[in-house]
Amino acid sequence: MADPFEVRMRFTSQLRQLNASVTSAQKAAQYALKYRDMAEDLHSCILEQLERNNMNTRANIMYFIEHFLDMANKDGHVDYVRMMQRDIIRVVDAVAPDDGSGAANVKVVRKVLHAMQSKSFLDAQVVTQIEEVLRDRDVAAQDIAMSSPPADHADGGDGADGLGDMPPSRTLPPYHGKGGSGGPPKLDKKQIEQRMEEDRERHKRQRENIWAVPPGEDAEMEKLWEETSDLGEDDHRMGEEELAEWRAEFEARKCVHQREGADGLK
Amino acid sequence: MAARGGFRGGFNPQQLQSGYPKGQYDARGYGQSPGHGTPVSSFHGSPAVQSPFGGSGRGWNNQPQFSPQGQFSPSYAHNNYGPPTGPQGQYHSGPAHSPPYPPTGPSSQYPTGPYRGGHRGGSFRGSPFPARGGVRGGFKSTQWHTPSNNARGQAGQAEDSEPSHAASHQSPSSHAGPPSEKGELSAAESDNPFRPSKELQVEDTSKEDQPKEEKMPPPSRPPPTGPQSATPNKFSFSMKNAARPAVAAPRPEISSKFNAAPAAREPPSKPAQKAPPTRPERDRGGFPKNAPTEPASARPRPGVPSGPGDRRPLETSRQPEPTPKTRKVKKIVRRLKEKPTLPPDFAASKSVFFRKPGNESVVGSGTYGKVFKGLNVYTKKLVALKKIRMEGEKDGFPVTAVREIKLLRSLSHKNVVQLQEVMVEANDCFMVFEYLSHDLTGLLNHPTFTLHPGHKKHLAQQLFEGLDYLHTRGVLHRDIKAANILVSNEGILKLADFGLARFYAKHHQLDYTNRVITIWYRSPELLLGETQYGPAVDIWSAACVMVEIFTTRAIFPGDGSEINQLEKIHAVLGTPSRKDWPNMVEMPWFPLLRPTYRKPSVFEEKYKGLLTPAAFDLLSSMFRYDPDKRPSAAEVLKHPYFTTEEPAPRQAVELKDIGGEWHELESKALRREKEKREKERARAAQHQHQQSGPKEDGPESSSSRDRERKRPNEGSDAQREAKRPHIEANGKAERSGQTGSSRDLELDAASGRLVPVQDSGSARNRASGNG
Repeated sequence: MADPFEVRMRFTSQLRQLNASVTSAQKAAQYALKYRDMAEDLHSCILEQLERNNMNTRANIMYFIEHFLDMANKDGHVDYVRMMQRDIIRVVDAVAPDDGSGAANVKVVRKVLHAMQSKSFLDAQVVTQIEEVLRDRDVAAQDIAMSSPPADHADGGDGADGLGDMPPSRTLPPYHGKGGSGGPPKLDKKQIEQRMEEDRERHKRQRENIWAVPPGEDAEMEKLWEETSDLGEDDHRMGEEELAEWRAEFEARKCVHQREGADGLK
Repeated sequence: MAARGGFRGGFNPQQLQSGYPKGQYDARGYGQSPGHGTPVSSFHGSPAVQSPFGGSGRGWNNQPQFSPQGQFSPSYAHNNYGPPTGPQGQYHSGPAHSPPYPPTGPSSQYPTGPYRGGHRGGSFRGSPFPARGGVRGGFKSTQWHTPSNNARGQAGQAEDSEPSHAASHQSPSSHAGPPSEKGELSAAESDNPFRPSKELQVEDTSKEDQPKEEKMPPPSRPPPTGPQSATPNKFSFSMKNAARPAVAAPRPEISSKFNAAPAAREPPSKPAQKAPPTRPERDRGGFPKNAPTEPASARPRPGVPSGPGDRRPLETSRQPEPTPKTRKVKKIVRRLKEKPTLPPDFAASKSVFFRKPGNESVVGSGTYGKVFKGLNVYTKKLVALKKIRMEGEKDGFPVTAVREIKLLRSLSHKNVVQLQEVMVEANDCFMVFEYLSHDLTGLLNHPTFTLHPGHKKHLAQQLFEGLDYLHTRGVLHRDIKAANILVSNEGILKLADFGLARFYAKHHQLDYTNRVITIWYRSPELLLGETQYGPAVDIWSAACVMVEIFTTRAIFPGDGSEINQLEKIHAVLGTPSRKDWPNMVEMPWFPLLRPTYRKPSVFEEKYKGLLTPAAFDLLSSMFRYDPDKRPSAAEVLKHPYFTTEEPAPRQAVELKDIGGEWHELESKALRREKEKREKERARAAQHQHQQSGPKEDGPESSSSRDRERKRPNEGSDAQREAKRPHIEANGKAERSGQTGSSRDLELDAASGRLVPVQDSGSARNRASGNG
């Protein structure tokens, strides 16, 4: 029996070291499943790390949660799933806080929530509610960006080229978060770059599966049909080119005497 | 032809090369008649691939060339024919030199006919045609030592016979017999004038000879013509023994053997056909045993006597039979000797494309590998050889290279660089392009030559014509930049480096990687993480290049990071408003990279004076933040700048007179040279100051230090230097520029940052940049 304290420490460090790769998430998930008798403890670990770490780690943990619940469910450890359902609001608050610092994570949260909903870890109703809150945070963050720092407000009165002019459809009560009028804390350059790299990595992995054809009869045909454009200029051009090629080939493969004969006729 | 079918069925369907050799082998062993002799030569042709005569090799390898396997395939093929392998070596050398046969014609034929035809056909189309052509050529040369006319008929026979043989003799042993014959032939060849082949052949023969000797003893004919007699004997032995592949007979004897032995053995079936050359007769002597049995039973075509006989008769009818043919053969030999009048340095070249030794021939390098300048020793035409980087490739031939080749083969336009062939040589794979003397970076940095406004317009026009072609074809270039745009010495511009290019879906939006395009030329949507982009990204890059054509400086010379690059763009074009770009807030990284300040555009103020009114209007439309609002390449070409505004586009034919070559590489070297001199001057000045007095020392030394700090960066990339003045011109840039050493590192990274699609590539870049 492993020392509970040690297990906790190890799991914590694994959460902190999560990155965009699947293996890092798998490793942490397997560890948590191995010590499932300490499920409660490890779950609190996740919450704790979500609240303590920077934006990137939070996003990584969020992606990890999706993966983790998947594995837990597969192995029949519904405890983890249940606890996560219970605390999902807290998780979302931690990953995309409403102080504006979580704007970059809003998209992550949305993505993961939808994935969890589609795997029926979450109720559609819960997701919809969270969605609404998120939209405020998202747009609010944008609002801050648009209105730029106060210094700019003075000379930025000309809303014409300013970022502050939001289209009516998007207008929401101006955001006044905990940060006051100072806007969200400025993100660290390194963190931004790290985040971009991790996003690219995730995107790459996601693209690895795009060729997959959904199961079902004629699925592939349907897909191709969907992707096929109407007959257009391009097709005519291709036709012309193919015809020209064919003619050239035809000419080239004629018997010698025929070729000469043709020339003679000309 | 039928031959192929037979080959594949009987032997290894896997590799064409292997298939051919087999067929040949069979033909020889069975045919024994002169026809066999010819097959041998064809063998040579195939093995030649490995040999210095890359050409012939290619001809056979056509298909293999596409895939990396091609390179290896030849060797495999040989190996497969366990027994034949030994002989093959001989064959190779022999064939290449083909001279052994009086007809020597073959040797010349290899390089010419099968050679190139095969090459191109294979490399470009991969269609069966080229391959066939090559095969036939080979057959012809070898089989019909004398006149080429016979070649076809013989080849046909040989092929026919082969399949049947194959069917009957599936075991290698049967093949072995033929190889030995070949060995003999090759030996004979070695005796002949071919220089390179001789050595190879000799070695091979020696090896072969030993085995032969063992087997040889039994043969009866040894005494008279050592080799000749031996070979026939061997044949007979091999046939009998079946299992001995090593049988290859002595080479020198070949000629004699041909003359004497063939006649004896084969007279029944093929003698008439091959009659022209005396050799065939000799061969017959050696082969007869096999020929009669197998052909008669198994082969309809050979109809042992009938099939071949028919064809041969035809051939023979064309040309006078035995004696005249031999005479002709001799004549041909003379011609062959005359043909290879290559200058010594070319003759010494191991490649068809002569390159200066060492790094002298390098005209460019990057993450993709190196580009060499080469001269085709036969046509004397210049080519650019792009070596495909295989180091560190764990999964074999890089898929990016395959993609690039596939893309390039589908393109043919005057403003797109033309891929002539793909070549495998000495375990390296090269893409062979037409050679152009300049690239845009080199040209714009040329020390003396300046472009006329008409030239600039013509260059810009060609740039967009090329781009329009690509986009109509559904190709995104994704790495448009000055260094990737080549200019011939007649002022023709061509887009190059399709290493990042891809086909895109025109009618629906797909997801692509956003790590593309050298960062200075990267559009705002890509910098903000967009993965669903289209041709507008190329338009942005092209607009950057167009500015460079006018000002010779990059318009957005960032430090290599996305954050700084966006700042650079904002510094010139201002920060985008929601009105400018409604979808900006949807960009994945907008929350990360949104501007925290507002800035008006200074583009007009800065560039209006440097451009004509129409050019300014055109550029402003292309530098729109919203990709949907940027014009397409076709629309750009209809802009008044190209259609109505004076001066009209004018081809820069003057480039012919400037001499030399100006690529990024050269201009970099030039700059480095300059920097060195400046540095030395600065150092000297510093020395003086130090001596003159302590007061001046402080400020002076610090300023010189500054300079030195910046120079290393510049040295790393020619473009940087050029752009340096520009950087200092705008406040933002300077601020970031003063961050000192960290900036240097970033600059390096920026220069190296080609942002390949694959992460490994970019990681490599960055690592090298930082290192």
